Amino acid sequence: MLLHIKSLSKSFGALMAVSDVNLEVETRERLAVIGPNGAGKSTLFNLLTGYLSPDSGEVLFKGNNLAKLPPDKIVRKGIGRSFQIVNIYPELTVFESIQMTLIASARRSYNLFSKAKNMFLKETEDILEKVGLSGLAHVPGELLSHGDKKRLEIAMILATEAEIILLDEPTAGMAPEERLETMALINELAEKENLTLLFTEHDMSIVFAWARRIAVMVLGRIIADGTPDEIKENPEVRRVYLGEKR
Amino acid sequence: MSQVIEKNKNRMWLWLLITTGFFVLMPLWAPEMWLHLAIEIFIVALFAMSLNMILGRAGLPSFGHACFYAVGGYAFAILVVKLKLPAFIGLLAAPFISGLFAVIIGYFSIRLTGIHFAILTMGFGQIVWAIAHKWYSFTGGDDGITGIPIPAILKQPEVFYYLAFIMLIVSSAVIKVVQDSAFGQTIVAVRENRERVTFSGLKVWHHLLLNFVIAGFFAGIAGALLAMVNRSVFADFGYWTSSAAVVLMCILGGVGSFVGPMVGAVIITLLEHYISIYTYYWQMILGCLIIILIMFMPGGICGYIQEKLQKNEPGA
Amino acid sequence: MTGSEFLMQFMSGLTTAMIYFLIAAGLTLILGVLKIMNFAQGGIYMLGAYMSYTFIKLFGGTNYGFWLTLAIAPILVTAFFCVVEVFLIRRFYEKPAIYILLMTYGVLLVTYDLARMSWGWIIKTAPMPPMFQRPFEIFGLFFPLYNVFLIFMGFFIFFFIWFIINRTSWGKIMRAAADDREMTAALGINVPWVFTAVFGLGAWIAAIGGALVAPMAGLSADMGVEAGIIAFIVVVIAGLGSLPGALLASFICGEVQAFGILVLPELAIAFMYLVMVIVLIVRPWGLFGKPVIIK
Repeated sequence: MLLHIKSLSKSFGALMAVSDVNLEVETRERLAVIGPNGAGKSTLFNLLTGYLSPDSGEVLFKGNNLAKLPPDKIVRKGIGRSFQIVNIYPELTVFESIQMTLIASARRSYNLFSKAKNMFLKETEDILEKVGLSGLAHVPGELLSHGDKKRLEIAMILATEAEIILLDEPTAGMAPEERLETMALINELAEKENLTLLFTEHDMSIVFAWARRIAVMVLGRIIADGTPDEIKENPEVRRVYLGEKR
Repeated sequence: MSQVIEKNKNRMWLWLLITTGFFVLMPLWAPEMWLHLAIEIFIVALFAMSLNMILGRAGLPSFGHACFYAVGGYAFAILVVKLKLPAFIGLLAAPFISGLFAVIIGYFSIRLTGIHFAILTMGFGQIVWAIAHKWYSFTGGDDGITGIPIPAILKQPEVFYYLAFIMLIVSSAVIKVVQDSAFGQTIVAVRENRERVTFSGLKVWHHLLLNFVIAGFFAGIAGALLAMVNRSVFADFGYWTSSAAVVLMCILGGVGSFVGPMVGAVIITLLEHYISIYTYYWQMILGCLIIILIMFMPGGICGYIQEKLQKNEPGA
Repeated sequence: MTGSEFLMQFMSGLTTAMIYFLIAAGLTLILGVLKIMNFAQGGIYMLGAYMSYTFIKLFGGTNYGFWLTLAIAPILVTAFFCVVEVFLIRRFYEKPAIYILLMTYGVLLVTYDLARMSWGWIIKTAPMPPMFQRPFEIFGLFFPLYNVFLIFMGFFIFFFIWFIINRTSWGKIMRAAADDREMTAALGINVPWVFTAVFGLGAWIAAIGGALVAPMAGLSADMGVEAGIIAFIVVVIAGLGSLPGALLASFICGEVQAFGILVLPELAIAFMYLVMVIVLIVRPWGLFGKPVIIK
C-alpha cells in the first residue's frame, strides 16, 4: 500500500473540517475525492501536503508517518501537489522553471558557485519532451496559455520525482477541449511514470471518465468509497447528491 | 534571436572593457578631488549592489540595510582603535561581523514580506543605530570614532583608489557568480513564487536568510572601506535615511539589472556632490527626483533602457 | 521616591505619551486601513506645527486666535496632503510596497525643505495662549495647565477616531474597504475616495498633533524626521494598525522614558528603542498585532 490515511481529523473551532477520515491508496491508483463545497476536500489536501497540521490521526506514506511534517519535507518523501490556481514562476521561462525544480530536488540549491544555466540540461529537455513543452522552452511562464501553464506545473511536479500527485481541481477555469486534453496528458504521464493520482474535481464527467476509484466526502467524512459504478449505485451518495429518499 | 543575444553580449563586454579601462587609468590624469569622489562612488556602489541582492533578487524591501554598513564601519574602527589590530585584519574581519548581525536580524525578519519586512528591518536597523549613538564607552556615542590609524601607504589617494576599485571589482564579481549560481536562481524563484519553491522541497526561509547574510557581508566590506577612507565612523551611517538613500539608488538604477544599483550610486553621489555646492536645499531636489522617478520610470534607468532596446530589436 | 515625586514623574510621562500618541495615531490609521507605511507622517506633523505657529502669531497670540488656529491650520495641511495622495500615492496601492515607501520618503524630503524655505532655519516658538498660562492643581501639586489640556486632547482624539471607525457608517465603509477592496468596489463604493479620506483623516490627526505641540516646543524642520521615527516605533510596538495598541505603546514609552531618565539620564529617547527591542524579540508582530509569519 502506498498511502494509508488513518483516522485523520482536523477542526477549526467548533467546525470539524475533516473528521476521522480513513483512506487507502494503492500504487498507480487514480482516486478522485468528490463532494459538495465545504465538504473538507481542500482541508484534507492541506493536511496531506503539510499546510495544516492534523489534530489527530496518521498519514502513512510507504510506512512513514507524514502527519505534522512541514510541506518541504513531505515533498521530499515523494508527494507532489498541483494547485487549483496554477502555481508557476511568472517571469522564469519554461526551461528555467523545470531546471530550477531539478536543482531543488537534487539538493543543489545551496550551491553558490556553479552556474544554474548549465545544470541539468539533459534532464530538463527530457521532461519538456515528456509533457510536450519543448517548443515553448524559452517562453516566460506568465505568457503561456492556461492549459500550458497547467502542463508546466505538472512538469515541475514530475521534476520533484513525486510518486503520488495531489491535484486540486486540475481543470478548473479551462475551456472544455482544454479539460480533456489536460486530463489525457495527466493520465498518460501517470501511466508512463507509474504515478499515483489523488484528485478533486467539480466536473463529474471527468471524474467518472478518469477515476478508477471515487471517495465521496460530505461534512468532513468519507461516506462512500468504491469504483465509479459502485458510487453511481450507492444509495447514500444518491441521497446526498440527488436528494433521493432512503 | 541567438545572434541578437550574441551581439548584445559582445557589446556588453566592450562596454565593460571601456569602463574598466577608464577607471584603471583615471589616477594618471585626474585631479585628486576626482579621485576622492571616485572612491566614495566605489564604496557606495558596492553598498547598493549588496542591497540589491535583497531588494531586486529576493524582492524584499529592506529599509535597514545601512545598519550592516555601519556595523562594518564600527567593527573596523573598534578592531583597529581599541584592539590595536592592523588595518587589513580589520578590513577582513568587518564583513564577518556584519554578516553575524545579518544572521540575527534576518532570523527575525526574513519570514515576512512587503511592508512588514520593511518595517522590521528598519526597526532593527534603528536599534543598532540607537546603540551606536548612545554607547559612549564602546562606540563613542554621537561623537563617533575618529582618528582611526591606517597604514601610511593608504594615505596616498591613488593607492586607496586602487584598493577601493579592486574591492569593488572582486566583490561585484563574487556577487555576480552567486547571482548566476543555483542558489541565486533559487532566490529569484522564491521572489517569483514562494509556494512553488516550498513544493519543490526547499525550506524557503533558510535560503532567504543565507541571501540576507551574504548581502550583509558585502555591506560590511563597504562600511569598513568607508570608515577607512574617512578615518572615522559615525552612528548616522546606519540611520534609516541612509537605508532609504541606498534603496533609492537601486530603484533609480534599476533593480532588475546587475549594473543598475551601480548606475544609481554614481548618479546620486555625483548629484549630491555637485548640487550641494549650489544650494542648501538638496533634500528638496532629491525628494522631487524620487517623485519623478517613481511616477515616470518605475523600472529605473536600466529598466528603461532595456525596454527601449527590446523595442528596437526586431523579433525580440 | 515620595508619592508626590512619583506623581510628578507620572504626569510628565503621560504628557510625553500623549504627544507620542498624537504623532502615531494618524499613522496607525493609515497602516491599518491602507496597509502602507507613510514616511511623510512626521512631515505632516511638522507642517501642522509650523502652520499653527504662523496662525497663532497672525491672531496675535490671543485665546480665540488659538482655538481658531486649531480649527484652520490642520485642515489646510490636510488639504495639501490629500492632493499629494490623489496625485502621487493612489496609483501605487496595488504595486509592490517599495514604491509607496520610497514615494512617501520623497514627500518627506520635500516637506522638510519646504519648511526650511518658508520658516527659516532658526528654531521658532509659538506663544502660549493666555488662558493656559497658569498651573493646574491636584493633590496639592501644580502642573502646567497646558499639559493637562494636551493629555485631555490625546484621549479625546483616541475616542474620536475609535468612534468614527467603530460606530459610524463611514467607519464601516473604511473597514470594509480595508478588508476586501474589490468586494467593496463591487457594492458601488468609490474605494479610491474612501482611501483618500482615510489618508486625509490620518494626516489631520498628525497635523492637529503638531498644532497642539506648537506652543510648548521649539519648532524646526528636524522635528519632522524625529516625529516620523517616534510614530514608527510606536506602531511597531503597538502592532501595525492597532489603535488601542498605539495608545498603550505610547503610554509605555512615555512612562518608561519619564522614570528611566531618573536612573540613566543619558539614554533619554533611547528608552523607546529599548521597549521596541524587547517587543520585537518577544512579540515581533507587536502588542496588539496578529502574527504574519509565512512558512
